[in-house]
Amino acid sequence: MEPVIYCVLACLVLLDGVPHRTLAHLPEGAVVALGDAPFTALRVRDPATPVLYFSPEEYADAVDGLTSAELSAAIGRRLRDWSPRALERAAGWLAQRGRGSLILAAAAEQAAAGPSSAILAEHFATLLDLLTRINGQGRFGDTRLDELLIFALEKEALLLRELAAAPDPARLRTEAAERAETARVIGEALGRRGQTEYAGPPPYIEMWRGVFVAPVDAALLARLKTRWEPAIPWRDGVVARWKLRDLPRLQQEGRRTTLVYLSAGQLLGDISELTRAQLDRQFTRRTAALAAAPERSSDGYLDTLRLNALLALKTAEGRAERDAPRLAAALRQRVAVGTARLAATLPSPSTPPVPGQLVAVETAWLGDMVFFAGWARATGHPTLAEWFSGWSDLLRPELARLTAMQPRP
Amino acid sequence: MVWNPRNFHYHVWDDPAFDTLAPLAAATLTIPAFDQSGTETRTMYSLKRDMDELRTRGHAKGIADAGVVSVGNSAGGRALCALKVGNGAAHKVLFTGAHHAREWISAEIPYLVAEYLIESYTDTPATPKEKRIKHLLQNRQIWFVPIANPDGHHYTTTMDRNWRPNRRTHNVHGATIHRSPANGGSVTYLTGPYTGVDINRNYNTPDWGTETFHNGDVTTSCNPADGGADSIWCGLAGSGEAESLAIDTLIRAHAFRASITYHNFGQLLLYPDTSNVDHYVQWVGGGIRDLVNAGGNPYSYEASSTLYRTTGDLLEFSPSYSPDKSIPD
Repeated sequence: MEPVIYCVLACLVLLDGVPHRTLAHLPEGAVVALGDAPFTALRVRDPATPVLYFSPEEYADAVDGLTSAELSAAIGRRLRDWSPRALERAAGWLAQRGRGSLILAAAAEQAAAGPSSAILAEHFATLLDLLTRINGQGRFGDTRLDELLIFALEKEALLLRELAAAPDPARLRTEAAERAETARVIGEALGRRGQTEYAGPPPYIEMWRGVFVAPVDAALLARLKTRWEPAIPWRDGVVARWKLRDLPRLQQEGRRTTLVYLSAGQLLGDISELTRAQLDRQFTRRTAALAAAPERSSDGYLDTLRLNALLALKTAEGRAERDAPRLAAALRQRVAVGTARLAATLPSPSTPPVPGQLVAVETAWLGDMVFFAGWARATGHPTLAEWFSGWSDLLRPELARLTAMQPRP
Repeated sequence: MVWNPRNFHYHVWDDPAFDTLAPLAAATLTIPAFDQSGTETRTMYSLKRDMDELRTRGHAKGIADAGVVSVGNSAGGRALCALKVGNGAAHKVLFTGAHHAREWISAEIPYLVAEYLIESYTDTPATPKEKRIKHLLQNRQIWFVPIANPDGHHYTTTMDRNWRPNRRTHNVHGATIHRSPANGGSVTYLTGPYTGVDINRNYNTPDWGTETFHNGDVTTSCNPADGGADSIWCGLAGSGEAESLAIDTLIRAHAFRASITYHNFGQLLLYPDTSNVDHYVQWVGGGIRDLVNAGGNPYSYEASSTLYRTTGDLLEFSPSYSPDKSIPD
């Protein structure tokens, strides 16, 4: 772990003799990356040290191409809105890292042969268990099985609509049939449990996008204001959230519509976290990526939805094991189908697995868990410390097994 | 008596994580991230348990008629918890929050008003403020329903942070709704299940079920496809949702002198369209405006349709059942 912190000028003296990398000098301080041990030592001397990013790569990506004034604004925003709650973001960060491991594990499984392939398939399933736990710990205690089933059904329903709306829906037909079957199994289970409204077709789920619309006029702005929709001026128009079915009407009005975000939630997240300069850059990047490779962008978005759907289904299955064992058996079968589908779609054909990369990435992931556990303990967050430690205890033996599998140099 | 508010944290409806904690304690929970990509952890309170504790403290202080009751259950079986304080049954006042699930702060304000009154109350007041609070609790009966939409609120704390309506699913027969071209033209929806009625479009007002538009966009919709996370769907019948029915029944039973309902997103104090020449409503609303604006963070004060017109909302529903328009002491 190499967190990126902000040091005001007065605090820089505390870094004397501490191994660190200065990433940027600002008028009133510096952005510094340092290892987990020096970070822990520094926090002892200055408990208020604000963390800006959890890795130098994340920082570099966030500030790439900014002028020094824009960099100051971005760091100021981050310090104000994100840093005070950095530890609360740790679980989300770990889940994100876990997704990276999952992709590598799927790729390694596809490339492997013989017994290695079986071990890697098991490893993939174990990673999914761990991600389900990270995703759900402290979250669903007051949620009933029926609500978990509905949640899983909604995820499948969204995927069914998104698969049909993808650039090449024909190649996704087999998956659509699998998902329709999963939705049917969940819907019928809900029907048997008294929720008959779910026993038929899956519920209607809206598809939202982050869209650039131009030209902009008073009428368009008034409509966005009526919906309390945040709209970011960009080029000769605005970027805002729209229902996919609203786009034809905008086009009939003579407006250009360009997709910027396939996930409208990500647009909202960016608006809440990024400065104008960062948003400008983000919009440019995303628009270019979507225009250059629409299928690839769509595949990435679908993979996120696939994983979310599988985690929701596994959570429901876990609860059913306790509350409704017969239903659990049916759900387990659908989890197996969803797991196989995810393992098949996750690896990117353009990035073949590199030997040893999976172990390296998971070793770093484990290090992050241990680091966060220590940080949580030191700052009086025993529940979080317990969660992070528990996750690392699950990953450690799995990683040992994986390491033993590697050929000796 | 000085009120020492706890550190500010949002409430969840309830969670087993509170089982082992002291009253009014906070727990670490995991909630969905705003960008819908993952999760984050948060320190939260339990509304159900905190309201019970407030009732206990109110009783211990001898506040008359302090109690927590359920005014009804949501479609998902969660109680709409109400805390009532004070024994001035001739002057009943209702505070409601979180009709819209994702508007978390709107649950906290009614809760904090209740906490403030109970924690600040003393039977032997010394300061003008303490005397005023004692007077209020002896001459009013104040009802607080901080979360009018517990299923939706629960959904925002567990599954989708950006969810607005309730969590009811209706199987609906497909149909076409005829709208003018200026309002986007006719829309057709398919037969099937649709989730999420906006309970603040569902109250049984005389014009419930009438679609409304603003700047060419629908603001009250009969199209179930306008349900979902950002719902403005009015549902299938006036006060036909468990949550709106519970509040509807409460209002009819108690003839509240005043009803204040909280939302968030705009710095606005809205009064019912039907009340712009109502001396009593303007007296209450004007007083609130002056109080709020004295804090130096001014709010606009306007009739609700100035923002945009809607039907079936609580703001228009509640005045019909407030017969007494005299200005109380």
